[in-house]
Amino acid sequence: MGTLEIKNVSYRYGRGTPFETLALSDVSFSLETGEMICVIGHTGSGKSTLMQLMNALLKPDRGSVVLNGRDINKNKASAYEARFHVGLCFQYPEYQLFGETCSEDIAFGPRNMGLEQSEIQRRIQEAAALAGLEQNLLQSSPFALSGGQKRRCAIAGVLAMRPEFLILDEPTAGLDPAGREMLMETVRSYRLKTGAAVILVTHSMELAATSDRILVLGGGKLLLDGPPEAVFSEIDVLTKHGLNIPFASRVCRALQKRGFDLPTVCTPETAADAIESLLRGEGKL
Amino acid sequence: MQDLPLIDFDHVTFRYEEADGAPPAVSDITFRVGKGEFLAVLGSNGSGKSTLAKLANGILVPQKGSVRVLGAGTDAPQTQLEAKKTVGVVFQNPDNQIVASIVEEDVAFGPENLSLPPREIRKRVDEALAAVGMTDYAKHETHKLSGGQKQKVAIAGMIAMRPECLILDEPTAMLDPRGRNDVMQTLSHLHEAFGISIVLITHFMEEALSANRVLLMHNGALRAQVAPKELFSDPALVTECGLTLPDAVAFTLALKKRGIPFSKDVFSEAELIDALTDLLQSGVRR
Repeated sequence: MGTLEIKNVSYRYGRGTPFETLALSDVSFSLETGEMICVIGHTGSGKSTLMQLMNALLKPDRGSVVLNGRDINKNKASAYEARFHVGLCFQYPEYQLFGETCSEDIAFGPRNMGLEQSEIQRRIQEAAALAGLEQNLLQSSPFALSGGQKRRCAIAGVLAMRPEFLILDEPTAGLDPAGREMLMETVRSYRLKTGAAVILVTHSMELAATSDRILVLGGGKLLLDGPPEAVFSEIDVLTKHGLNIPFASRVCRALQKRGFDLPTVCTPETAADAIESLLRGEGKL
Repeated sequence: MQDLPLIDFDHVTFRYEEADGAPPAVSDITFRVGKGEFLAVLGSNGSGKSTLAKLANGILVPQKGSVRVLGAGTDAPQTQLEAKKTVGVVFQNPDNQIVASIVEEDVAFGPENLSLPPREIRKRVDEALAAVGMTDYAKHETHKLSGGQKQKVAIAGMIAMRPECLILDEPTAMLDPRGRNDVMQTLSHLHEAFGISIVLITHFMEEALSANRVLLMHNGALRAQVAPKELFSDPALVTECGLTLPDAVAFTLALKKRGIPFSKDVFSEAELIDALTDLLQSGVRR
């Protein structure tokens, strides 16, 4: 059982310049392996900054990031080590591919971990299979792949390190509906197989509604932290910060306002159940 | 001149690698974009949508067929330049489109190259930034903006050029709900107030509902060219092309399967809420 604690973390960009901006202010929360978490927030709310603080790519100005009881910023070695445990996949990761072959690209992380050649090979196979990258593409140049295949290759590179905490920053941006579903399937099966925590940064309220827990960032602060039902009942906080509630909840809420007795629900299924039983209950079906 | 379509694709085929046997990226595409139209282009990844965008203003030139912008083919250097003035393209990833280090300088880049007087440049930059809600960021450094903010700056840069047609390749893919709404409203505003033609390439089915017409791409071919409501009344076609229905349409279908009758077609969220209100209010037993 692993934990990743973010303790009173603040971070500023451009310290000492006229453009100094507070990106994060006194943010605290704790994650445990096995959790499925979505992070939502308006553009510029500090989501990407927070993700980079979580694996020591950035160092907090104040506060600390503690992985399994150890401050990851204690020294260079601890920061280096943290990156194998907290795997971070950036937005549009396909722009970061560099290997001559997909196999080489995926091997980069495991090799830096100092794993043996046979283990590296095993990791490549496993990660490619999880990410849905076809075997016959492993010896191809990643630059010869389609956009969707490139993204799967880049994600495989992170999975190959088997991080306890897998962070994906807007992994479905630019993907078609089938591609989005395939990617989410990869994430779900990785979590099931390894027991890792998955942290997804997303602009999709519908996707966030399917997680166990939602963190809401706004103006560099952690505004809300709770299960979808709790977070999506705070509609005023969300809309004030450029966010929204999921489609099905919006429909129920609008009908509530018109005087119908519907719950604040988060999924299309529960909304349909409620509407159907309301109609049946009143003998209208 | 009045009757010339803005963009005219006539049996266009394009392949990136002419030598090898790879199938063309787009094949035998014919359509027109008229003045003042709002088109949406839908299709799964790799269906040829982005290739269409690059063909439309002469960034790419077809191997077969022709692309004409206001009647002039895009295959000659002189007309290519004119095509790029007429048809502006905003791409998927704003990082590849930002050229200056300060926001307002980036937006001014296009108008400066049109040799406009400074006062006109100032006016256009201010208007463009206001249109995308980035006025407060005019003096900010572009590399410090978030992805969504950069995309808004890239759109502002195109708006400042006042092209007759804007092609946007998934402009909202990286934006939060408000940002997405802002951009969609900005596009509607540009379309209605200035009569700019809009061609919106998107993976968000809801956004296609704003369009007059949808081009549905599948495996490099133009599979359908219909009104959005007509397309979303054909779930089989939508699924076959790897897409999904808009949330309101899918939700309505799910309710219909449960035996809940709808007397009218539902496409948008507002229509769904009204239809459900009618259902819940009607037939009250007295």
